[in-house]
Amino acid sequence: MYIHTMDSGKKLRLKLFYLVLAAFTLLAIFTFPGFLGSQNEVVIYVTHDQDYAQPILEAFEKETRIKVKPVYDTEASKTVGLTNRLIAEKNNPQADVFWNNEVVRAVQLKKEGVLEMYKPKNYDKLNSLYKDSDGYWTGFAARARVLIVNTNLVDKTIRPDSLEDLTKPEFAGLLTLADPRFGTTGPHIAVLYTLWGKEKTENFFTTLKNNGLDIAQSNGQTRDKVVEGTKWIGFTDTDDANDALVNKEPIAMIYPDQKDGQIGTLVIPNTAMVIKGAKHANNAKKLINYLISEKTESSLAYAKSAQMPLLPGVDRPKNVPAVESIKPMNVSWEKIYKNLKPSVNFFETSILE
Amino acid sequence: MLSNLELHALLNSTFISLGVSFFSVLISLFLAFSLSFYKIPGKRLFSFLFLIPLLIPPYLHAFSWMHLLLFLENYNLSVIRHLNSLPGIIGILTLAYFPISFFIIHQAIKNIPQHLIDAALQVTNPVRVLKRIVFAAILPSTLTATLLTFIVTFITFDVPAYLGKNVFITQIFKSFTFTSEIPRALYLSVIPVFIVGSMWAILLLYLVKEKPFFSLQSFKKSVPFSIQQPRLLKILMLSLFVVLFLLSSILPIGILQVKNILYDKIPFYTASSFGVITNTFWISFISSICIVFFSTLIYIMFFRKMAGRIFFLSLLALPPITYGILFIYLFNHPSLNVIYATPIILIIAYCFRFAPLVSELLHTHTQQVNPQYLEAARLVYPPSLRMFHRIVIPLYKPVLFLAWVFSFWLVATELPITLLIQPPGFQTIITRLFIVLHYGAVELMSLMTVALLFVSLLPILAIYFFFHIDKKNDQ
Repeated sequence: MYIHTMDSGKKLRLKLFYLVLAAFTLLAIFTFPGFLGSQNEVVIYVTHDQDYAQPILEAFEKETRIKVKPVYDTEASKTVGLTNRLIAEKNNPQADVFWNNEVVRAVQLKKEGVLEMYKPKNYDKLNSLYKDSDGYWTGFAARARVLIVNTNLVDKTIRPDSLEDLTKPEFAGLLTLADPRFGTTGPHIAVLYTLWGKEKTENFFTTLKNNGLDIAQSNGQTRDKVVEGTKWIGFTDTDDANDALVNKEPIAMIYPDQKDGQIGTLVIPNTAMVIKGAKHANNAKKLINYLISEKTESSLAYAKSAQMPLLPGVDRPKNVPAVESIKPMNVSWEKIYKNLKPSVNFFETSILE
Repeated sequence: MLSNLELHALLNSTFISLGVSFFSVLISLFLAFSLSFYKIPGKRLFSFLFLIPLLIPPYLHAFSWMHLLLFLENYNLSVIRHLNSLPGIIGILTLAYFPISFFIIHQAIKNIPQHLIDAALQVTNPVRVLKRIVFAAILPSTLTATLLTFIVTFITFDVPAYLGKNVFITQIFKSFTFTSEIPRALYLSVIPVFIVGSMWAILLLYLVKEKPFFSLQSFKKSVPFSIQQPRLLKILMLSLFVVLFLLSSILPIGILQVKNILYDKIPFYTASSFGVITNTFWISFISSICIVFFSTLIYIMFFRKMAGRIFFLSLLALPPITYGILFIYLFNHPSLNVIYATPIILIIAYCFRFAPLVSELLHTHTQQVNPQYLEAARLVYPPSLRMFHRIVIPLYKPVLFLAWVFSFWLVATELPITLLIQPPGFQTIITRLFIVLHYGAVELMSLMTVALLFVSLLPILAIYFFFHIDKKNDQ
């Protein structure tokens, strides 16, 4: 018969093990109530880069003593992941605020009835391009879509200054851009659909495909490919490009189509919005006022992301251009949203395949 | 049925998974044979070290290789383009996932009765013994290891995504998110489950049948078999061990550390945060205990019938993102806020996600428990807590501890579900790592990888310290 015996050392170790087990269980039990809601908090879903957004939220927390509970998203599913989570949670919202790093998904959320109307204190100071006319979302701290080139590989004389230059045979096999199904490339293609029309846009991308267009996973990866020199030209955002410039990588940033008669480039603000049915609506409004302020815009301009302030007179470093100095694509965000699905569907079926 | 893009993605995923399974099993057979049959110095240490790649997120392997190959570009060794290819992905995932098959096959070889092989060696040559006894004995384990590696690879999205290859999981992800076609996404999610379910059915009904594919009894011995031990061969094997360990463990962790020490110089307190580390630890700790209990329940209720076993094992191929989305729809209700808005949602999701694997561990262990022990116990004790405490628990203790350690590792390194349903204010090391990698803030990654490795190793260190389980076994 099996006789179960233990020496005293083993018994002592077993007791010690149970003690540790109990200690960690207690730790978990005491940690857990922190996740249950309290009134003095605000839940925010954030699609802006965590390393830039976190200091802003911590500063808000310190200043107001309101606990901030963030959920961050990655660039691989950027804006798309949290937008869908917000839609899925529509009937039982968990978030109070959505800090979106672009606009199209904010338009989608407005149409889905996920948002609450709220015009923050600085709402009237903003250009109409960067806010919703009904006050469902408000923009701040923008970035622009830019071309980046590897300066070691692309001579100054041949650098493209317009999107249409990219179809030239000398750039065949050298261009990369991010998968438009996730991130800001999708809205950019939708803008081209709106400005150029379906046929011209589709011809443009078909030519790029025939020239060996490379699809990166994200804007960050687009930049990395150009920095590494595996691709010579990339189509990305200013914040990603600035990351490389700060690290003194051999790249140059080009704002495309800035001349008279050209279409300009897409300027994409961050957007902040209150969620309908927010459990901490007052705190949500306080946080949105904090985000759409000179202080936050200045912080984001001085951060590595180098985002352009949208409010007038905000202190910014020299390397961050005034938003007025850039010629933006003048298209309504509603139209961009309308064209997003057909344009990305075209891209998926004709370019990615 | 499937669009061209989806079909292409399915073929990519299948090709990658088959490649990774094939090479992982090949490496594992070599390692397991060498470690079991030859007196190689440090063999016990290597048995442990070859499990470490499992604790490193696969995308860190990809990231490190990318940086190494970029560095080689400076010396005109232009090999970077090979990484962004299907063979490149197969290579990286093989280095990340070979420990799965190694662990299973190594245990199987150790479990072959020693006297059987020694007797056979007396009458015939080692090659015939290998073919007739050893291969036959480890066939069930090898097939199961192949299938498990296939499944894990098939549902991996981060490495193919990082290296820019279209795989089936990306298509499911896109249907869920960009186009919000939930029925389509669910339809696509069922395809891998169906494929893998068919494979499990063939494997369990016709090939493996009721043979156990894994054994913990083998923890009790590891005696080299009486075959010739040429010195040169052993040196060659040892060198290959070292190279493999360098490529699969030292490189993915080391490159980031070297980069940080030489260039970034990020101090630990800014690179990570205590909260993220403690979150990872306690969610893994609590979840792993819950997984063991839940899996025991699933085992008792479903695993004793073949159909139930095949059904749950097929669920291993259900993409984690599908679990995440389903959990949002199931639990996001005002009356369930105490679950949905807290880490309880994660614990429940982990239980469902990992229960098939842990239940299978329990099943395969039960197959090897001598039923006479339980019958004898019933003669002495009536069915009671006392019998459970004195007989059942000691018989199952090794597998329960193993299940707990496995569950702890699985939770600590789980990414897709955690990313999708993490409650507000909660983040784990692996989600933080993934986010900073994608934002390009690589300088923040290096020390977090060390923290993740440390947290993942804690349970095995705890068991070693408290119970000395393996100390006297591997002579």
